Amino acid sequence: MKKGYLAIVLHSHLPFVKHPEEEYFLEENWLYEAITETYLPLYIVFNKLKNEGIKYEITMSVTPPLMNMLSDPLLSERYVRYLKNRIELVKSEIKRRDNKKESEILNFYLDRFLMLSDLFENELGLNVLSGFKKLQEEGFLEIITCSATHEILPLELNERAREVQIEVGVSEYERFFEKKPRGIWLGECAYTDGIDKILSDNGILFTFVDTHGILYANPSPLYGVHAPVVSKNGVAFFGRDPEASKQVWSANEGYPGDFNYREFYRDIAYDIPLESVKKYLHPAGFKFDSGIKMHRITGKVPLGKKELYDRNKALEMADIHAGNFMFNREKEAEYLLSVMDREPIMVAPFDTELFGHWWFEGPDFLERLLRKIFRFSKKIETITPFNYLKKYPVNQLSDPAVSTWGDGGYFKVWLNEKTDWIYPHLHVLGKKMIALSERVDNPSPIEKRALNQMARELLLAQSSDWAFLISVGTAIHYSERMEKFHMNAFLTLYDMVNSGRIDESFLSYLEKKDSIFPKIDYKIFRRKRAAM
Amino acid sequence: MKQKKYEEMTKKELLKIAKLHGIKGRHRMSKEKLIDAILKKKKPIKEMKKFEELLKKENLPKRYGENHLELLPKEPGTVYVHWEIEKKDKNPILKLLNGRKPVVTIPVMSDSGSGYMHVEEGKKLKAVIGIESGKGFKKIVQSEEITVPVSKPSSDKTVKWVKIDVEKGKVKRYKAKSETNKKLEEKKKKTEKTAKTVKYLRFHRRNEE
Repeated sequence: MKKGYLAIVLHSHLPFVKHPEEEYFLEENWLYEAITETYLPLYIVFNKLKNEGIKYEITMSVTPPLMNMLSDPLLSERYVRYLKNRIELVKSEIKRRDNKKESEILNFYLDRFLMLSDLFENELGLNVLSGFKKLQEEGFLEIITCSATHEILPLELNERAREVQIEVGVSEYERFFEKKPRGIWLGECAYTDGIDKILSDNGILFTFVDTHGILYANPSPLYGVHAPVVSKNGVAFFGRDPEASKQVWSANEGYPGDFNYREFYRDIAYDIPLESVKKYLHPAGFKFDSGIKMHRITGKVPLGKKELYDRNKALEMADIHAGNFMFNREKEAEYLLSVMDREPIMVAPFDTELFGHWWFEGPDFLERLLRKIFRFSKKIETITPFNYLKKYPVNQLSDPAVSTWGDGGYFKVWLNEKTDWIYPHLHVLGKKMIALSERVDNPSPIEKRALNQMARELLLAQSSDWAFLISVGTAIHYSERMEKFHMNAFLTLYDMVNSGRIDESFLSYLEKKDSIFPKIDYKIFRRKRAAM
Repeated sequence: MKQKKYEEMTKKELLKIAKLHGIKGRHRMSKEKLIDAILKKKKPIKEMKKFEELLKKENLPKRYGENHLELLPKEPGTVYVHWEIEKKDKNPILKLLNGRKPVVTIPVMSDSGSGYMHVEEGKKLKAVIGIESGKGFKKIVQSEEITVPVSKPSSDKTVKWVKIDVEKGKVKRYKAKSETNKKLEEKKKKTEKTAKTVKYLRFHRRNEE
């Protein structure tokens, strides 16, 4: 008999970034890097295991902005260019360098990029989602949705806007995966009372909160985070198990900091001649990560003192770490079972991009972990929350506490002196959208387009990413600009609709640029009362 | 540096630009045709940039000329409040209410403003701005109700069970018996401690560099 279950949850999200107005746009690379380093490698790992006959269950959330970007023709086309440029860059570096060890690493990249390029263009038909969708149909993955634009729902004050975030999250999922989502990942795991009602109204069965969301739930849960609780509106909440996630999350004491793993910050882009930068990375000669990194972490030494990467050694470590992780979960499950009257669940949620992007060997670790658990573990098994609920449908009634999984556990990452200007605007814009949607019944075709675009701009402005990036100090300027851009776009359209003078070229520019949610109908913002 | 005009470029240079724009059949084109094709591709980009600049420059309104009041949870014991009121009335007052009981009462000195306030954990709060008169409190604007986050476990140890029908998504009350035990409580305390020491990796290493 198994002693416990491990639920690995991968949360995949990127903000909607699309700039047709520029041929090369730096921030679009967030998507291209994630496809190259995380989504494709994970797809490869999941398939490889499947072909070996290994059974595993993984939960994966894909947010609507990411679904939309991964299916966008312009971005897909640009991704092909991104990968081709890297292939050419590696080839030129192989010619330029005569160090045997360096050539070996460069050839590793060349083979890898060629394989990814073939996979993306030929097997997946330029769309990674189709691959994950198939894995879901075959029972290896349970893909769940997220709110429309990963908003921090407790910071959204318009009740109807909160509901729209969930409704769009559900309908977008259906558009891409052709079934209803059973679970949802709330943006940043942000929860406050009342959200469970919206989830249950939309047919959502389960979601996740951080550890203290369960430990401080009311009444106090008997099993802590090792069993779900069910809120009074009938949604099951699973809590993050800190022991199961710490070793993977922490860069200092966790696995990703091992000296043999690839160094994230030493990128070839800073070592190559400017001519190559212009030719392969950015025509203007901007230096930014190419994704080709030839060194290992080495130790606490400056970037210039990093030693060359040894792929085999790194894979050996991934194997050791996978074994260690499994051993620790077995011990944990064994102990928990001795004090509980059912097999515990250990929920380990991560940002998907940790695997491969931040921790290059993450997908290799996951591959080895899943193989080891299936082949050797007598004590643990992987499971999805849905299957755990099927096995244990009786759970404690308790309402989770207000919480997020951000630094500090509450809202300071998104609500502080640098970002608090955002929320009053969102409140007012939301009110305007709701009022307009209720007032305009039979718009002309162009008015309808403008109103639908307003809905898109509002949802994009509600995205939590801009506040997050401003707070952590990454891409501050760009994030502030994007937050204001969507709000300004909304307000400009609002004035145009009200004055009856809609500038068609302006509208079509926004439709082309902010092309998320192509099927949205502005009437979704009508309050249920008003709609009746 | 001023960019070279297309006319002054060699065909090789033009071909590179054409490649960036994804112009098909470019190798078969004459120099003039190449320039035409590039300009045609660039036109929408140029038009888009015009709007881009416009929206970039525009500042958000400082005020909307309407009554608004926002109350948001920040951390256990801290909330954020922001208001905008048309100041026709004299001496408005801001109150934070728990039910009907005021927990904070302060005079509002300006017609728009914001700040962080300390309040009790776990309370349900609503903000109102109004005028105190002989006849009582006259409300001008009010916020939505929020729940202030808590920083400790609930003292309520009641155990009730519900059964979820996963296929139908229905939930029923269910009778079952299970009692909390000491070892499990210790484990929960340990978990809480571990949770507080875990910080998530995302972007943290970059900041350490």
